Amino acid sequence: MNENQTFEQKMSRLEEIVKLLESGNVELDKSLALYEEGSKLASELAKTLNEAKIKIEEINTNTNK
Amino acid sequence: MNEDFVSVTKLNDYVKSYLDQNKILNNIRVRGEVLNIKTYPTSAYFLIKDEQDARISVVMFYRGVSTLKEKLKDGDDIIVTGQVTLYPKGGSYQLIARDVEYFGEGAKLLALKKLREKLAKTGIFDESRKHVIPRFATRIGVISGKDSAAWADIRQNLARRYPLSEVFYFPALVQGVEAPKSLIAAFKASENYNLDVLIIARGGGSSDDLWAFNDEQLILELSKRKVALISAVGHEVDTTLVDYVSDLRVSTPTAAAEHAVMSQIDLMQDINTSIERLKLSLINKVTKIEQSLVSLATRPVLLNPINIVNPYLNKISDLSLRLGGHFERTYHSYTKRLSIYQEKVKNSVGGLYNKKYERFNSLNASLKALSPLNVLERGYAYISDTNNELIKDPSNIKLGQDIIAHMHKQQIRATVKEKKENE
Repeated sequence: MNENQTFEQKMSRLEEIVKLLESGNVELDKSLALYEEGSKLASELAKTLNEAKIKIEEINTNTNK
Repeated sequence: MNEDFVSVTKLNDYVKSYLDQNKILNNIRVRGEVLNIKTYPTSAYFLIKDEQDARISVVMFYRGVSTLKEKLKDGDDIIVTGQVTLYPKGGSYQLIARDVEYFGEGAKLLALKKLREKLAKTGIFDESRKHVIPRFATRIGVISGKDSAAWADIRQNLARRYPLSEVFYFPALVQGVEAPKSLIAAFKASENYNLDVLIIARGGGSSDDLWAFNDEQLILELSKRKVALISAVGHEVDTTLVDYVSDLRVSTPTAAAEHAVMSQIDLMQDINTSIERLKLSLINKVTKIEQSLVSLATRPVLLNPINIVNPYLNKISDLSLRLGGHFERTYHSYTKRLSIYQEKVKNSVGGLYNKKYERFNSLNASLKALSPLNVLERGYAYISDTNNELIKDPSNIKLGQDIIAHMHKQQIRATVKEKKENE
């Protein structure tokens, strides 16, 4: 798994894994691997969200001020 | 009898021709408020009055006044351009309107309507031109008044809902003659920031205050954008052209922030639901495999593999009895081979079953190890308030507060008597 994935990419991958597992068409070994990947993604996402702090930048374009 | 009098017709004709020849009265512009209007398919009759309540009748034939096909109505503040003449039958003078235009606010609204129609024809307001607002906007631009309340609302809501955002704030003048230029400059600057969503926001104000958001040049610039645009200009009732060109129009800056990003509470819930769904689907998978293994292993043929070869053995033994000792040797060699097959079958089936069962056991163990509830079995507890809301941060616990310690199989309600830092 790529650590540089964005929050959105991780979230999409997690959703994909859940859907794959729920489809029931995945072999057992692969299921466990997916489960582990999914759990890891979920905890990473939760951690990212808990630790996030908004960044604000001001860009002034007003030439007459 | 004196002949020094004229007929009414003659007098009226005389006054009419006198009025008709007067250059000033022939082409005059009169401002007033429409009163008692009666409209017909080809003409309209009404009075206009001024602040002193002075009145004059106006006749308007629609032919030649095509600019005002919109319904003129009582109370409209208008300027009538036309000719003052006399209506001979009534002996009253009146204004024949050649042109009618709105004055003041009405004129502005009409001009705005025309501009909107003109821009609509170019297709820039079409649904097909709309951008989809992304589900995970990370880079968010905000164009709003310098240190305005609108900006404060947006900043606060973005920080609360989705702290993963990077917000780029482009302060601009949002009213007055310089505003359109300033808004365009802010927009152009925002194009360099690779934004996911751009919000243009301004609090409520008079229609004059919001006029900059109807600027043609600004609308044309915005129509070329590559980013999803949310407009939150003025209140619900105020519609500006920025609302038409935007992808989403909302009535408050707070709503703009809410539409720009997902709520982190919802997201956290999504993540937690995903974890539950992952667990459940794996448990289902394992249960299903377990069931099929059990049903496979309990088939009669596998419980007693000798059944496969028994019919043959019986048949051979029968044949051998009937044929006598002659076949004794053959029979022995057959039974020997059969018992070898028998072993093979037993080993392969049993081996398969054992292997699968081992794998299942190891998966089941891994699954259990991943469950957070296992930690509780080892004597740990998690703490919630009396509403079962998980308490993660001990600083949220107050002295005297009731809390619930969730342990393995039991919940313990307790009152906080003392708090101190860990040594």
